[in-house]
Amino acid sequence: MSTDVIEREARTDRPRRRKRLTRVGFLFAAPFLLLMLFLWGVPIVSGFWTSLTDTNMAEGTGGFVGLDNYAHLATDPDFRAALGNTALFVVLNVPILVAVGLLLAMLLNQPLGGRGAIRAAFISPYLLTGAAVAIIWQTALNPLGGNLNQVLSAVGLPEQAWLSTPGQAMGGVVLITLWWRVGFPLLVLLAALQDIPAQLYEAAKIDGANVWQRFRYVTLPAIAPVLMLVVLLRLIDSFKVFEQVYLVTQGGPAGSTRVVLQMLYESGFRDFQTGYASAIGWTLAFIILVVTVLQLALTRRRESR
Amino acid sequence: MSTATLTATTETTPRRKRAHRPEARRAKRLATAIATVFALGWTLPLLWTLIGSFNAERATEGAGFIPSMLTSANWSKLVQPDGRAVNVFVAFFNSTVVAVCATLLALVVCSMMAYALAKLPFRGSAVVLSVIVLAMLIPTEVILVPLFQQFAALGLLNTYGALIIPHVVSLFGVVLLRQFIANLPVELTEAAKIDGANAWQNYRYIVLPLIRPGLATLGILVFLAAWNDFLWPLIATSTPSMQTLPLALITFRSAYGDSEYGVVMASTILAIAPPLLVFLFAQRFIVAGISNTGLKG
Repeated sequence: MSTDVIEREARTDRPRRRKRLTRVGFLFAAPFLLLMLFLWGVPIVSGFWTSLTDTNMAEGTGGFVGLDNYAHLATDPDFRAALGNTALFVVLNVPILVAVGLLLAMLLNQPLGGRGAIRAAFISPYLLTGAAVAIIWQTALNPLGGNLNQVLSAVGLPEQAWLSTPGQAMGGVVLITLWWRVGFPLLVLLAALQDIPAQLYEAAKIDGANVWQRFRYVTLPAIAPVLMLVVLLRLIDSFKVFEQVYLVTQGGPAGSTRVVLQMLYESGFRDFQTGYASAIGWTLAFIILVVTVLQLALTRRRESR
Repeated sequence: MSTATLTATTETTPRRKRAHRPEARRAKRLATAIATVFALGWTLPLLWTLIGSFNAERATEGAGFIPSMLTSANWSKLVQPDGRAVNVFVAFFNSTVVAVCATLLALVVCSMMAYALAKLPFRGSAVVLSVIVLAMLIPTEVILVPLFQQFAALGLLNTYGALIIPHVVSLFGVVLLRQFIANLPVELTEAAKIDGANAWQNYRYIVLPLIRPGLATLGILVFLAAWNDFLWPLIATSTPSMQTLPLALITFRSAYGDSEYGVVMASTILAIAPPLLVFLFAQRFIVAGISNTGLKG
């Protein structure tokens, strides 16, 4: 809408005046544009070029090898494992995070005493650095006398090995991520819930709709667009999972939580295989792009139906 | 909101008023109780960390919720880590410099860009806007390697510049502020122009004061991102004296984690206190910022 206005203004203005505006606008934009070129434009191009070479920072080599890095990735068992772990994390994390976020948002949308304080409690972990989150939870999930095991044994449940067995470690990481990141879906969905006119619920109640029916036919359709967007943003974010894994489990035990970004970091900055690491980055970007397009297409089809 | 509608409907049906009221109050009390229990559970890990930082017992093992002995020795180790880690105040200072500079620069650079896009269309500005929106889809992590090479080539590694500059360009910030500026009433911005104000005066004295809520939201988001960043500082710095707090935390963990976990807990508290304080005083803007992220698409 606003671009229409701008265009109309520009068209009706006299040519001399438009020319002057053009130059001033460019001056205002220049600092951002230069920085964006430096931080996005050049790295994207040079990164793609590097992914086509066998650049190694330690050995100083760097010849053009075509798509060799990508071909190698396709058969690299390490990459396959990392991709599988990342996919497992995405599949577990996104539904849990969005579902718990929605439940909490609906709880907070009720008439409550002390709503501000309750909301703050759920959002505050979202503001913390991943390093702190990792340390807090590594301590709490310590299998030997960690606080969570003490809680479990206090209520008579068996103590858990948590992060130290391959089967449970990813579950632990998902739990940590839920605690850390739930503030985002909570806030966005709460805003969407508060936009639903109360008359809709009144009307549904008069029509005899029960709690589930009111959720299914009033709440869900009203928040569907926002819900889809939250899912998309969480999907993108989940593919880039790194800190809570790298700092809590170091990818272990037995590589069961090693994710794509950790592999990128290790091959690029520990093994100095710059070309290979760039190829991993581009592959991850491509996967995220495909998922984004699929999700948007799915949303659009559902909307048009 | 829903309480208002509840009273509105009960007013129209006075007969049912008495029957409804206690029921509604009981429902409210029940919901409050459930929400409070969950909320307390959610803050428990933070509380454990705070208690742990005063715990005199040396290892995690056997350390109960309530320590048998309290001490402040953990906190003094932060200042004198006996060469095992960097003095935590150095890291605190680094984090503060980086986060504050990044925030101020981002506000200036992004608001100027947003002003140009909203009010001063230049050649190719429509293309620039679509490029910005498209670039938001590219995960920053993908350009990590080339970005590192670029900073290395310019000799900027291990400098404040390397830690600050990547946070100055906020694509989301430009989109957010452009929206704010585009929504300003034309009368305000045009009136100053008729009075003879040039573009800079218009931006500095008319537009900036009017978009203060937007600036506050963006400023807080940039501050938090810069303060909390882990992966980029990990790559861009190698000397201990340039460490920011998230990196220092990990150093403290490897230095003290096995034997004196209370020191690690104390450093964690120090690192998470500023964001939580910012949250306490600016909850409104943080809530607006996060909610906006969801609605921007």
